[in-house]
Amino acid sequence: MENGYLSLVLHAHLPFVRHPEHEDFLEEDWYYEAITETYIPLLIVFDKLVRDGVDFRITISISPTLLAMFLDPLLQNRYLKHLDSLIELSYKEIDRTHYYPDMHKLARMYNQKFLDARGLFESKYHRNLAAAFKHFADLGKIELITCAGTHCFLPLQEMYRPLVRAQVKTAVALHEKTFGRKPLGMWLPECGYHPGDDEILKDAGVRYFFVDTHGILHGTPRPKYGIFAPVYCKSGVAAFGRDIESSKAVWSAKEGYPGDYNYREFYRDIGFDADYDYIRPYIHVDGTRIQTGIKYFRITGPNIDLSNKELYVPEWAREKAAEHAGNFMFNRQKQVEHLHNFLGKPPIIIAPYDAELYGHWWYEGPEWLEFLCRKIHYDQSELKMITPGEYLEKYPKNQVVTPSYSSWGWKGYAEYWLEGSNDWIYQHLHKAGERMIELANQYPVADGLLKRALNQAARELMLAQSSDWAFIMKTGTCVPYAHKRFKDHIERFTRLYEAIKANAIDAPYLAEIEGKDNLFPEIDWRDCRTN
Amino acid sequence: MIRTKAPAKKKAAKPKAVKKPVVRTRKTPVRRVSRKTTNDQRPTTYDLRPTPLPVQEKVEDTKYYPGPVVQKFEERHEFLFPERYGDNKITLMVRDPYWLFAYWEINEKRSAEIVRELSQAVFSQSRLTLRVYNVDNWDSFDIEVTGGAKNWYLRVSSDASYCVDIGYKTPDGRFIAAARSNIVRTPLDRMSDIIDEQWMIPDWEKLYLLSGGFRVGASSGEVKELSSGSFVKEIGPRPFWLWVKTDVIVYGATEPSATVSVQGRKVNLRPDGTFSLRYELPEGKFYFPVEAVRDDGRERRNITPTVDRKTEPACQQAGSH
Repeated sequence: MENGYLSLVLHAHLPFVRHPEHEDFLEEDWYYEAITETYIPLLIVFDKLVRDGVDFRITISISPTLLAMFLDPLLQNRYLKHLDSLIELSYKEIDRTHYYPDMHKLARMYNQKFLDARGLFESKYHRNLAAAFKHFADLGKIELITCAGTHCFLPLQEMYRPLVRAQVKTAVALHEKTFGRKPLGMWLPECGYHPGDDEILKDAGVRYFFVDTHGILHGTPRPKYGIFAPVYCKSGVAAFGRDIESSKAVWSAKEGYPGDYNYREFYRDIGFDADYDYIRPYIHVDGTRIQTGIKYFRITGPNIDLSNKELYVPEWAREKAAEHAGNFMFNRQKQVEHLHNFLGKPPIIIAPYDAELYGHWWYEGPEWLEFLCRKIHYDQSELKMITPGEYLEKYPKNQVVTPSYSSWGWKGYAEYWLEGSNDWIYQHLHKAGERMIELANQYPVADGLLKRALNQAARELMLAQSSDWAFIMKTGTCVPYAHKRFKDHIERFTRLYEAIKANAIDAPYLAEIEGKDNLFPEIDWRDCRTN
Repeated sequence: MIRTKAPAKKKAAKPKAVKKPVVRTRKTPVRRVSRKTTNDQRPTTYDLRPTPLPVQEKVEDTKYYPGPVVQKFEERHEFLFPERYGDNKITLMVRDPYWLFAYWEINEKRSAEIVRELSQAVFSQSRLTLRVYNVDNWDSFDIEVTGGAKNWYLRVSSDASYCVDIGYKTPDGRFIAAARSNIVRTPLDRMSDIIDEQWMIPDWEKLYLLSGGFRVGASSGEVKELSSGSFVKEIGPRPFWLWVKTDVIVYGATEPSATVSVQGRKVNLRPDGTFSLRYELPEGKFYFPVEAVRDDGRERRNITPTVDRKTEPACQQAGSH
């Protein structure tokens, strides 16, 4: 009999990055890297677990922007092209490293992984990663949930409720259309929750969401079981709180697993190391050196300069991943045993992470996950994996608590998205939002060109609302791109708004931006109406 | 970390009055927006992280990490964000339990009305002022807006409702509002005092600790000094360094239909019959036997270049003075 439950939640998200106007666009690489290093390795892990009869449960949120990219033929083709070029480079690396046997082995490893990825993507899943995830959802091993439409940080749109609703409804509609069923849960972008958002989730048929630890702990009234049982908002939608201990094990640099010296070093890449003429065909078309994904070194030790890193040894890393999985499981076993005694009922431990942490940042993350699932399945019976949906079915009775406004970002609230580097965007974002509501109220019915223009305006607004732009402005990575994107979408929205108001829609212009920002074909501008 | 006293009790003992406002001046943001970014090219070094990020944000940020060089964009100039929309309004947002953010715009029509009401002479001596109301008890405090700011961060208290008027304060202390904001509520920064009657809480203090309470935001932002080399690159003088490697390129050409092998392994020819192989070489002597065989197998050619790689001791270098 189990003492308690573990619910692993992976949040997969990238902003919508698709630039048909350029043959080779740097930021699209975010997506290609994530496919090769995270999404495909995760699918391989799931496949192996299923094949070996390991019963596991993982909850995966796929953001609607990411899902739209999964489904886009242009990006599917471009990914294959990207991968083919990587495969070509890996063959050259096999030759080039001939006289360094250890490095040569790594070159062969990359070559094999890229070939495997290609086989999977092209032959097994027919370029459709959404279908691949659906496969494991249909087997009942993973629970697929959604996220707000363009990953809008909802608490900072709180004064425009119809826009929050449009983010939620658009997401649920795309999820249902793609996966054939409504999502049971939603990952609120950055866990940003404002009391009352749950009402909107309820109207969209979403049964649960996640908040950070203090969102539950500072809820009203006091939650009896802390974060170890979900609570119901007054709307009846359940909120699950993040567990700090299991979070820290993976996120924390000091105590966290990914910082282990045996693991692969993220920043040392042959894209920067190799001779320029040699690497030139595999970096950005304008000659900028970029990451290729072929990385030969390990973290090595504390404060080691990148040029002094030592060679990566996959066997050591794999051993570490197994050890860390064992450690994680042991700690969760102790945790649920202790909590079970204390609470008098089996606790649920919510362990949410960015999916891209696994594989992309923490190269061995997918292996760790595989070891963890196997160990939980074979080695013990106290801890059981569960999805939030299953838990609610099993334990429908929970306390009624309104969680507090919170996020899982730095300092726990909205500061990362509202501070000196990015606070200027809200004036423009809110104005565009007001204008969208105005349009939706003015045109309850539309068809033809007007309908297309209204829907495209809604798309542009939502793209401007992506939390990624404010996030990037704050972190300082790729700031010009974030500025460009925010500006592009506000500009496109504004031009559409003015054209609609003037009854002078420019059909070629509309067609052009429909071709660029082509996500959410089923979007409905009427979701932005007041009421 | 175990506290002996519940924070709720500590906080509850404090008077609930609005704290003295602490203000930060904000410059008008428009300049930041229109700044050119086309020349933003940084040197190719590894030390590019401007400030260490909290670890969770750091990991999230790697999704957007293309490499150490920022791409150049052709900035278009036809669209600029308007400085004003002609609205008369103030918008209030909650940043965290202690800070609100307000931005505003007073349009010409409303300005003119206020000038008429006050007279030009009084208006010109009046100060643009934010009046912050605690809506729960209608306590208020004023902040004088300086430096032509169009937005402001306001220090407030947790678990309270606020709205803000933007207006003008005359020398004799009268306040005329130009616009009133939406009402917002700051979150509770501690556990609730309200205990559901239906439930018993056995040992809340312990449960709160077990849940990781008392350290809000710690889960993601706790780790500022990061131990692992991969998580952070300390900003500071980079030690002088050098590395040298030797790659050798073996290349050549033959009939496009021929079969070529190097060191006994078959090599793919480009359509024009050329081929190229590259090896990173350690110390030592290397042989690269190259063999080409005509497609009908009736002719073959063999060439074997050799390479001797040797690194001389530093003392034998010439011209060091």
